[in-house]
Amino acid sequence: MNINCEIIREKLADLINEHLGPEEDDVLANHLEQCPDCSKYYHDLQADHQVLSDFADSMQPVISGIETNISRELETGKIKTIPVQKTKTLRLAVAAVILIGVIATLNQFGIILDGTGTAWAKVSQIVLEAKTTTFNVVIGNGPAVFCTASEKRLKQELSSGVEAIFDYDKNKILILNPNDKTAMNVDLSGLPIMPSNLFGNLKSTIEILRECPDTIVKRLGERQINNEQAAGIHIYLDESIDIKIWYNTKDNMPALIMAENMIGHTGVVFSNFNFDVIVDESVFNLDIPENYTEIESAKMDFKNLAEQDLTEGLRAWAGLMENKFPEKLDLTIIQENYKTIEQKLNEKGLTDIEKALMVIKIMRALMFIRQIQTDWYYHGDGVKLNDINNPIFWYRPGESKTYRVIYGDLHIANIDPENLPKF
Amino acid sequence: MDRCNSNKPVFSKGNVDRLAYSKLVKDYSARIFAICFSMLSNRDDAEDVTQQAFLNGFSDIKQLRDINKFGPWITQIAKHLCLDVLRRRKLNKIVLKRIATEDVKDEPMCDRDKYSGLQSALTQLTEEYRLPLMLYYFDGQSTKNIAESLEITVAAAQTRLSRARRKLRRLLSTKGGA
Repeated sequence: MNINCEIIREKLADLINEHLGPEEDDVLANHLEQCPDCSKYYHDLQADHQVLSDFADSMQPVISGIETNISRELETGKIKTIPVQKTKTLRLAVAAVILIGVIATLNQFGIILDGTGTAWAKVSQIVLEAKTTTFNVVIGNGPAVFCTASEKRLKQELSSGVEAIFDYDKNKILILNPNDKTAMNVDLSGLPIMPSNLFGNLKSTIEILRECPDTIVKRLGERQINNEQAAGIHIYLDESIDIKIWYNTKDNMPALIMAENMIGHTGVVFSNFNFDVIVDESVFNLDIPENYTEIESAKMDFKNLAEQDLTEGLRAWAGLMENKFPEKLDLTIIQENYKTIEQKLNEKGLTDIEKALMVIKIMRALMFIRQIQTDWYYHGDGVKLNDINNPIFWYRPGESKTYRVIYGDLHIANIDPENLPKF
Repeated sequence: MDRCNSNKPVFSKGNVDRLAYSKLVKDYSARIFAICFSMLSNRDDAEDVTQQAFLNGFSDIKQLRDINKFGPWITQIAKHLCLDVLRRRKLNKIVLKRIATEDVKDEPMCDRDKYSGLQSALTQLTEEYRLPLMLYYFDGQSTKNIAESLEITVAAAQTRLSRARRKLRRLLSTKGGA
């Protein structure tokens, strides 16, 4: 097979999707006439297409069955009818750092990999099978936080005494400050992606590493941890899925787990594990204790997003980051800059509520981008706020024939497609 | 109109409208089944999880404030359920073994035997390539809709589909066809 055939085969695969123009069709047709190998290849691709179509068709009764079953359950009232409450005014007062932490842990592990178990199976199994766990966690250079985790809930206790209770089913966080007896409620239900439990993320990482045949496992030697002999193993797939586990040589219990780049470019260190401890569910109670006062509120929802949310979010980002716009516009920008954002927010000397509002502005901008249904382009990396001459973003709203172009000073202009900036 | 862009109200008179929800189930069942099948590589489990996702969705629908976001919302519920299943049962391994060895019980010969080679090849594709194929065939989605579902560009969706076809062809040819 020559290079030409290789290119042709790429095009043939496209042809099954029916995305070629008439001219390309002619080129392919000419080649197929002359090349029996590619002709057979195309024939095979078509056959695959047919088999996949037949396979999908064979599943239609299954899908119809699902619809019927659910309709039946709905009709027979087996499922409890949920009274719909009028939209509550969400009372949100948010500790921004905790909020960033939540966003940073949005589940990144969409890929499930096949594979076999490895020599570290025993240690990882202990983590995976734990229903309840207590442990200390350190994110980046942050303070050590004591955590109690169950399948769907997590409680964090900071050394300052502040407690945060995460309920991942209800998408809610309750933050309690025993020092001044104040409570804050955070409702994240508007987020398009559900945040995941920090310990759950560790489990997902371990699960992926266990399942993937390309996982590399290396021994790290032995050392003393808490006066116990521990052996270390380094398990990794790539730079984003990379952990080191130090485990007690007597009983294989994990003593220290270091997950590199678990939150953006920030590592997370877990230690002092106790697995399957008895946890009273009341520790995860989201009710505000009687002697606490719920404080300042800030609405957090992701409805009614508009172009202004984008400009405000860009302004907020630039305001934090020495007037520079972000290098890209997606949620990973928060994950990757977790530490810097936290640091800059602290440097600004803002109140908790001001920090939270700043983060929410940035998030709303990113959410606005996600809902743009047409083409958009971002070119803000390296541009500074108030640069009136440099366009940083443009998109075409709905059916509009012109583009909306946002410049470095965040003014917006309508531009015809032929006059769009070229890079 | 894209059949997944249903704007039917789900809420009425203080209750979740069961009929409207049934309509949503109809609109999204193929998509959710495709995603579950892609993640779980097994028909029965995909069927169970799809059903459970919609039932959970019905119970939690009051948490969804914008019905236009039903698609991504129910997708996330299904994905989390799939992850739970995988975590609990280590399904990937079991599925691979099952495809190779399980006896077919009282079931029309429609699927497992006839398509076992194809299913086996599909399980060897990474999620990145398997999911676009599943959405294309099971849900009849256009590349534009696939791009939206996966939050990638249309060009990237086309590329993934084409590469998925080529990888699948390679896998099937080494196994002697579907």
